[in-house]
Amino acid sequence: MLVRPLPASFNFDNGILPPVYGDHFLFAEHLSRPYQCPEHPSGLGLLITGKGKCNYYVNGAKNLIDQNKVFFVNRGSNLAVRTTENDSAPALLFFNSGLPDLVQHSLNYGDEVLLEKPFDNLPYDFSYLERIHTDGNLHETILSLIDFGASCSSFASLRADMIIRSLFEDLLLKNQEAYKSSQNIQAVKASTRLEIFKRVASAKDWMEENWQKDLSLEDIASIANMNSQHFLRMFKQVYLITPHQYLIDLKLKKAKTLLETTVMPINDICRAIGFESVFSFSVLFKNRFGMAPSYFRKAE
Amino acid sequence: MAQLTNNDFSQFKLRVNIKTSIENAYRAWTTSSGVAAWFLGGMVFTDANGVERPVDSPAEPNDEYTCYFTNKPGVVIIKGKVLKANGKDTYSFSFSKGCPVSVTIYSEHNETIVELIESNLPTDEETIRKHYVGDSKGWIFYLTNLKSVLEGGLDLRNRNDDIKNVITH
Repeated sequence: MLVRPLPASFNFDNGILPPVYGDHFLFAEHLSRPYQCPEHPSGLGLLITGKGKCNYYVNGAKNLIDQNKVFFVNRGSNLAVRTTENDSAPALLFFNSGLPDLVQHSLNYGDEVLLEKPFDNLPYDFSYLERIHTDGNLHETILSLIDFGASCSSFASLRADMIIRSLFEDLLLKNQEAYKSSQNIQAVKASTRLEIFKRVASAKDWMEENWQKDLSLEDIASIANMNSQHFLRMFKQVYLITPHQYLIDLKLKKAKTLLETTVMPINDICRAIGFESVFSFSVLFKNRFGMAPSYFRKAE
Repeated sequence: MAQLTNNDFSQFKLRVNIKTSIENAYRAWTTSSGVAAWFLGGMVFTDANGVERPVDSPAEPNDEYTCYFTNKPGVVIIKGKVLKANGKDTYSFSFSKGCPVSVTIYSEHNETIVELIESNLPTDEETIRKHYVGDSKGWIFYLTNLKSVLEGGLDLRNRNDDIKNVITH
């Protein structure tokens, strides 16, 4: 991995083809001035900001990125960057252009075969991930790579490369899962399936971020820019459960974490995750994890 | 750092003198238990059938190795292949960018010399910065640690994971 300051332009050779990166490139800079980079074909990468807010325009659509947000940009998409703040820290990590081939090959033909064949007919199409992801861990990992650029640690480059490779493998697998899920959508055109999947997936991410609020189906559907009944059908087609069931599952998982990691009374946990009835909570928890909350805590 | 030829950035050679036997030095490179005592987060060797070698069993040619991050068991930093291992004093393996690292162990003035050559490095500017400079810096610390461990048992690796950006990490 090579760390570089933000360039005036990413159009290294021309404005037609995406740049070919012979290594992983992390463009990062702490800015005390506005910055903008004109639209250009992008490499495969992850876009974040370490501080403040940054607008990444991808294929003409504005994506406002702030803390904990990561935008995955596909190779060949048109990317423009613009910050108007006087205190921001955009960071753009572009993967070595040869990495998709390398990782796909090793995942398919290495010692551990992690991918199945269906993905073969759609090689390296990361359109399914091309959107804003709320992922604090991924955001932190990318930020930590900046330090490797100037680190005197022994074999710092090797460490950075392995972190990026591992991160990329995770993304590849997520993309494969997304592709499989999108195939559940009953739409004739692939472009329609992709658009529906992206909207539904964004709403799912939003639920994961806002599960503790009192969410209605209409609230969630509005994130996907769909009417509630259409959204309900699409969500169920993609994830095979309803948004309500998914929300309950998120809350139960949170309750499980609280039972494992805190000494909070079960009544308080029940209220903390938004359940009014301890009885309902206990029944649902037992259905989900095989034992009532009190037994689960004792077992822990 | 000794250069094989002037301005040859395709390879570098490092030597360290150690008050130990050739056998001990060879074991420190070719067994999991030996490597764990001084290098990164340790190394696991697997034979051609994919079976993990016992920790005290020396690596053989065509073995594969997996090397782990310091202080992070299970987190892989690099994987590679054992290219040569004569069971005595010569050992080589693929390392960063798949480039071979050759280790030769011999006596000189009543001490044991461990000589390391990393070769076949591409000579474009980025590779020189990243691998020629980065790898040679890394090996200098770890060869020093090898000397320390084999001579006195003191392991110089940083064990405090809150401290970053130090040559011992």
